[in-house]
Amino acid sequence: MDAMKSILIGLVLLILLSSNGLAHKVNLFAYAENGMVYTESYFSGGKKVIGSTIEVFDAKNNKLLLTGKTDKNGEFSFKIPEATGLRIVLTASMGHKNEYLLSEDEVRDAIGIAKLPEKSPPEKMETEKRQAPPEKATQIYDDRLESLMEQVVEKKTAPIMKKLLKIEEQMQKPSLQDIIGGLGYIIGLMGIGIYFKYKKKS
Amino acid sequence: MHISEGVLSAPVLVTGVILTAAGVSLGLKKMDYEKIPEVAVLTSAFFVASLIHVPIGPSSAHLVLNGLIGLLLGWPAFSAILVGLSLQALLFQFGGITSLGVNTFNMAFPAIVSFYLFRIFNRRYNRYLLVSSGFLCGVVGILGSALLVALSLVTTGEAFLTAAKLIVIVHLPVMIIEGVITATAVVSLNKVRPELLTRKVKI
Repeated sequence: MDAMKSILIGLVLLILLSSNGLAHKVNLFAYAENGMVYTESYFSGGKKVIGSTIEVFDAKNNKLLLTGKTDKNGEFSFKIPEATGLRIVLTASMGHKNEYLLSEDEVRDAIGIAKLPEKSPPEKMETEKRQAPPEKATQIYDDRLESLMEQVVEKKTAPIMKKLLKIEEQMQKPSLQDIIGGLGYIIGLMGIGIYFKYKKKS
Repeated sequence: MHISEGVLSAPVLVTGVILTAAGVSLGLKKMDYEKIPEVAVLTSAFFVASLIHVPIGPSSAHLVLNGLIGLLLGWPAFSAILVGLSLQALLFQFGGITSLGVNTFNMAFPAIVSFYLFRIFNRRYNRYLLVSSGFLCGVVGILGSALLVALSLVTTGEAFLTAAKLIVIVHLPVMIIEGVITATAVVSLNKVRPELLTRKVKI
C-alpha cells in the first residue's frame, strides 16, 4: 500500500496548495452608480479578462440594449440605457461565460428615479410644498444641499461598495468545505461501487 | 478547459453526452473490484487538481491531470472524470451541468489516448522510455483536451485555428508541468508498485 500512501500524501498536499491557488472560472461583477453601470471581470485566478464581449440585456424581455468590450483592466462601464433590470452577460474566450443581474431597484436608484412612480408620497410632498410655498432662495439652497449631500454620501460609500464587491468575490471561491465535501462524495461512490462489484463476485 | 453553460449549441451538447455515455459504460464494464479504490483516489486527485492554478502565461489555466489519470486507469478514466467534473460543476460552479457531457469527453478522450500511448511505448522496459513516455502522456492529455475544446467551440462561431492556437498557447506551461508531474509519478510508481503500470498491457 506504499503507492496508495504516497498518492494520499499527494492529495493532502494538493488540498493545502489549493487553499491559496485558485480556480478556473470567469467572474463578472457590476454595480450602478450615478447614472452609470460599472462592471469588473476577471478569471478566478485574478487575471483580468481583457477585450471580451459584454452584452447588456433588458432583464424583463431579453432585448439586447448594448454591447461593449472590456478594457485592459477587465473593466467596462456604460450609461444606463433604460430604467429597468439589466442582465449583463460576459463571453470570454475558451468557452467561458458568466452573467450578472442588476435589479431594477438598483438601476433606478442610480439614475435617481423614484422606485415606483405611481406611488403617491412624492406627489403629496409636492402638494404640501404648494400649500406652504417656501422661499425661492431656500429652495435653491435645498436643491444644492441635496446634490452636495449625494456627492458626499457617494464618496463615502464608494469604499464600502468596493468592499462588498470583494466579499461577493470571496463567496464565489471554492471553500474548504466544498473541497472536503466533494472528496467525501467520491469516497461514498467508491463504497457503492465496491458494494455492487463485491456482490457480483460472491 | 471547462466550457460554461449556455455557450454551446444543442447538437454539440447532445453529441458530447452520447460519446461520454458510451465511454462511461465501457469504463464501468472494465472496472473490476480491485480497480475501484484506484479509480476513487484518482478521481479525488482530478477533483482537486483544477484548483491548482498555474500563474504563468497570458491567461489563467489550471492543472487537469487527465494524462496521468488515463495512463493509470484506462477506460475507467471516463467515469473518474465524469464524477470529478460533476462535483466541480456542483460545488465550484466550474463548467456547467448541461456541458458536462462535452467537458467529460474533451478531457477523458485524450486520457484514453495517453493510456494506449504509454502501453505502446513501454512494451520493453527501458528507464528513459518510461520517463519520456510519462512526460509525453502528460503533454498529450492537455494538448488533446485543448484541441477538443477548440473543436467544440467551432460551432459557436470561433474559428478553429484561432481558438485552438489561443487555447494551446495558454496551456503551454500547464502542458510542461503536467508532463513533469506525470513523468515523476510514473517513475515513483514504477519503483513502489510496478504492477500499476504493467497491468492490462494487452491492448
